[in-house]
Amino acid sequence: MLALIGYRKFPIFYSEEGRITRRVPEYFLEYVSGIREKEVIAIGSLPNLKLRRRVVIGDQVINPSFERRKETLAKKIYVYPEKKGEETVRNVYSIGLVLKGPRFPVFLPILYIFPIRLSSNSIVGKGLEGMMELLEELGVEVTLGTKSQEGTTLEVHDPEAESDYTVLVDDFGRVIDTSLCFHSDESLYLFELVLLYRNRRGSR
Amino acid sequence: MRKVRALFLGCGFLGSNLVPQVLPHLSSLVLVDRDEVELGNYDNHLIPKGYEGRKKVMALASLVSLLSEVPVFPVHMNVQKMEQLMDLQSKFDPDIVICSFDNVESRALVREYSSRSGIPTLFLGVTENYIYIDWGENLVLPRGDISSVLRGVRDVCSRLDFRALGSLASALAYYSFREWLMNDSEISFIAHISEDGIRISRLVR
Repeated sequence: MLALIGYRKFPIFYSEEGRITRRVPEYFLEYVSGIREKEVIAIGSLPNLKLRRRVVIGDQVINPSFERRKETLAKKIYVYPEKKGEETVRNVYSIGLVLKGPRFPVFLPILYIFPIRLSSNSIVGKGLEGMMELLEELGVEVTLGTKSQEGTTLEVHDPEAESDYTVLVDDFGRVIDTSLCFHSDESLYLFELVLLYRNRRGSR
Repeated sequence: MRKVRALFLGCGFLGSNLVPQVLPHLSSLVLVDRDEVELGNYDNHLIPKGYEGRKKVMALASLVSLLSEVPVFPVHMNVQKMEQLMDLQSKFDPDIVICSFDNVESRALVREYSSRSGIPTLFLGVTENYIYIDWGENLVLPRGDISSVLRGVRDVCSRLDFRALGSLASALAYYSFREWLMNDSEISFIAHISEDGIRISRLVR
């Protein structure tokens, strides 16, 4: 059981399956009615929804393709029966739940994969352009190589990871191949590969 | 095998080690803890990174949602009164309570609750040299001036040196939990760790 509060006149409740519901246990209804803030989430239980990857920069929620649909971030998270909310984590690459919001979906980060430290508080570009903007902010140099039918070759220089490597990406920034010894069952985007590799090097 | 509703009191060192073990046997899980994650907890808690300064119940609930589809109810609460436990019971109707609180007052309260409610309650505890796994009112609590014992327990719960204790305690507790689940029997253990090795004894009553 979970509730979005302060997005509409009345709270929106979600069942354990992640569906909007009106069947709410009395104790949780009572708890939620005591929360007066706007745009916050109250957690009674975590719904069983597919976990999604997102980049959270400031108030922006960006999906891994950087083809942004408008998603929002709750300002605070309340955990039953605590009366004080916790600020939602920002500037992080995370995995979490996407709830159908009143106007836009609301992202609830629950697993924090890496912190992302940027000088600016937003990313303007979309798609591959947005990824390049993020990588530039992270101090990663990406040089455009050859373009073929298969995709575009990019030369990546990451001073923080002390690494140079080559990545073949498609037009959407999805990684097709790389010179790194790296395997993932999930289809990764360029910035995800860079962050994963940087973090793996850092943890040695 | 049947699945049960479990109420975990304590989500620290021992609780976080045991939760992943019992998950396949649960139909729902309630996690109760009052603490926030400290950096040092990562030495021997099983919780996802990035939760420093945030609630332990949410850290463990997040891990559960990654590992399984068991519905998980995080409750951030400092259990100090019997009414709180009775309230949790009326809301979540647990089949079993698993207590790994590291303070004696709360343990005493849970023991009393177990006796009053009749709900099977499994206790896990550690000191520097001992692990004990016991049920309900059989639980023995230390008496007299226990401040040094408590300091020792806190130390055990937040130092890398004692990480193995968590694995061992959770393995024994899981065995005991499973026996209860399958045969309705309440098995208790005590393990003594010394320079000579580890001696595990099953307590017969």
